[in-house]
Amino acid sequence: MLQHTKEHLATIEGVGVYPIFSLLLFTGFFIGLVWWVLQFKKSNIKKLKNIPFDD
Amino acid sequence: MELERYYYDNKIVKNFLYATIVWGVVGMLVGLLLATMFLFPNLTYGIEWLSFGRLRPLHTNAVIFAFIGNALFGGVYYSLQRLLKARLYSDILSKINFWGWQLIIVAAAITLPLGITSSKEYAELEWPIDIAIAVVWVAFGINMIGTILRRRVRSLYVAIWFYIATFVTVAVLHIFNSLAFPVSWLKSYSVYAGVQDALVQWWYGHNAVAFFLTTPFLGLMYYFVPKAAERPIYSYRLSIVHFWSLIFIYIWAGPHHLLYSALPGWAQSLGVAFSVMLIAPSWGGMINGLLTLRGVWDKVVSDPVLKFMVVAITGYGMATLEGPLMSLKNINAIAHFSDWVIGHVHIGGLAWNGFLTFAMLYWLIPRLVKTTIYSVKLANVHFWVGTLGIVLYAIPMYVSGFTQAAMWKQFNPDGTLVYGNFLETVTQIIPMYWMRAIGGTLYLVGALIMGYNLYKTIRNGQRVEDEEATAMPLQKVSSKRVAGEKYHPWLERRPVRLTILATLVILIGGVVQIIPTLMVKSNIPTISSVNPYTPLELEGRDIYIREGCVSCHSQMIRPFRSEVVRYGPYSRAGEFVYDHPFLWGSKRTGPDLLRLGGKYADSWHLNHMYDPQSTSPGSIMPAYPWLLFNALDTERTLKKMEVMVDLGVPYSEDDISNGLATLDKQAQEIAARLLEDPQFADAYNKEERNTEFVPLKDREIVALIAYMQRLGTDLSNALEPEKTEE
Repeated sequence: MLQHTKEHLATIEGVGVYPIFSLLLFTGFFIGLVWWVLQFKKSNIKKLKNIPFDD
Repeated sequence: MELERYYYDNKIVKNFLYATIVWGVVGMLVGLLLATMFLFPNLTYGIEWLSFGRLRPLHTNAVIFAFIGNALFGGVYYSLQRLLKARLYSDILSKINFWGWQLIIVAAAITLPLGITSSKEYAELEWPIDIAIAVVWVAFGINMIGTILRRRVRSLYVAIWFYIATFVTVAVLHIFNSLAFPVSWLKSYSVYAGVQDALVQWWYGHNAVAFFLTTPFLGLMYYFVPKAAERPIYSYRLSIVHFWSLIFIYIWAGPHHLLYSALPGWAQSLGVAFSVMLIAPSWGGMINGLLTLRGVWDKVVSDPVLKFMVVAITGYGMATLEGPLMSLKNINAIAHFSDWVIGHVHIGGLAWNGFLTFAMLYWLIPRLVKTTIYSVKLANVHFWVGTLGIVLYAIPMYVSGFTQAAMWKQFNPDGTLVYGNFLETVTQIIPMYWMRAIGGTLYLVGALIMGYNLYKTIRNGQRVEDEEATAMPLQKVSSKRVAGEKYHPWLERRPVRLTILATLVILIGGVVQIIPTLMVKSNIPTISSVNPYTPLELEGRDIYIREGCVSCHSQMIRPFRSEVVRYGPYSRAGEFVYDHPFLWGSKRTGPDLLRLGGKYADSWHLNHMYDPQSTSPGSIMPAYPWLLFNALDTERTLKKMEVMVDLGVPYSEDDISNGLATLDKQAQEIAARLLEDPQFADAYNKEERNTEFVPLKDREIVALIAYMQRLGTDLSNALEPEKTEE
């Protein structure tokens, strides 16, 4: 599908930057996310996961 | 500090849950009727508003927005109050949310069968209803965020983040995709044309699945699965990673709808890579849900609620593995336009959304009416009948998808198609359509059993009343991070900040997808032979839209040898510049129509619309006899042309002032050609010339034939030899 638009998007100047930028962005985001999550204190995690039972 | 007393609003939850059951049955019934029409195409012969093309959007809208939508609101409102220890922010907003949503559903149920449609998939409703949807959705959002701001629990549980992402993203998607210029109260044209319209539509379509059918239900999973299993979620850390990476990646995966298209090859591949990456957070979530049941598998055996949940989460896992696979180019070449897509969406719809909704209903309703379920046995029967229904639905769709796609591509040694007649590939898979209809029936029977079981439960129970609760008010803490506080715990107590951050995360992907989209317009090369539609063709195109022809016929020839040989030169971007809206379609129940123009005589089209089986024996296309008798409404033809001018279509002032004369002249020519067929002329001359008599040239069929004969003809035959990929 959409075969025909190939060359048109390709004519956008520097369109190749989009995907590279995207991949780097997500990789950075993901590594940061995992690092961040690992910083959580166990006691805090326990408190958070029990919120649904405190009603 | 004193304990505060407050009441959970259970009545609004009840309303939404009851509406879920009612609309669920309605939506499934329409689905079953459609499935049956594959077997008996003229089941509703002659009844315009029960024709396939008009009912198909009614089915999709009913199950997505009425069944799943009501379940979403009910589940969110129940869990939100308890997770935040607060009554919903405003009773009035809750009521606007409920009654407004039901009104929208009723409006959809009336307008779609009447053929009032924008034709954009899952966004078919016309502009006044679109505005109503936006208003009600914002009421829902204010109600949710207001409740969050009044909470008595410091941290926001992960389910609530999913709810917030749902609200924000659906609002963005709905508004951008629905932008249109009105012709009248019930007719509008998309502001985007052709390629651009397609890109925006599939950015919407892809992400509507993500943020209407997935994120809210993941939120519900994170609340109701632990509640039903009576143990906390397996890994809270994993749920945080799940949330942020899912909302981040999902929006990016849109380019998998651009395969064989748009971006440079390696950029396309990266679009695919993002879709493949999506497996990670999706399966992270699935595993998190399933592992929550560790140690209680014995309960799964006896508790129907948990059974439904297990199949729902497994269905989520299956659909989210299948989706990325289908985005691989080589697989997409087979899956796209075939029944495989239908199988895929029904694994998601029937198993993930449907079964999670059933689980929620079985868990919630007895609690709301303070009793136990009327019959656990019946709930178990529902579970097995429903599961069998899913299996019998999905497997035939996979088989028919593979079979038909393979038949489409099969060549003889001499280079001709083995199945040159499209119909041969349809009659081959009829047994699969039978099995699908049986599967769908079982699923519906299950839902009816549930309806009975829950009705009896409600009858045995007490009136639903608002539930009293007490909690300590939240102590004021600095809006800054306090000493030793990590970032996420701080963020979790700053809901507005969290909302903004979530919005940013979804916008990044959205912007990267949308910017090239907007730039496409200036980059589409004009094809000098492509001209705007004549007034008659424009009216014919609107009949094509009204009758929902796009449900079964694509107008998009991919650059495959098999498609070029079958249909003609593959589609070019420049061909669609005047198509407001685009009509590429997503499913080929019948053949592609892009190069239909000039392929058959006018009288063939007339006979085919009147009695498809007479021109194409064994065809499963329904008849459209009313088109042969209805008078064409030309009251708004000129207005339509004016709106098109506003959208950039180059009609001159003369074109518009002479519009009706041009229309009449073209209609007379077609009518004259039709009357050359002696058999038809004989029947026509026998029609009684009373006050209701409409001359042939003024009938809808003439406009439709004008449009169909125009299709694809602008691209001259002087095209270079085709380069194709197989």
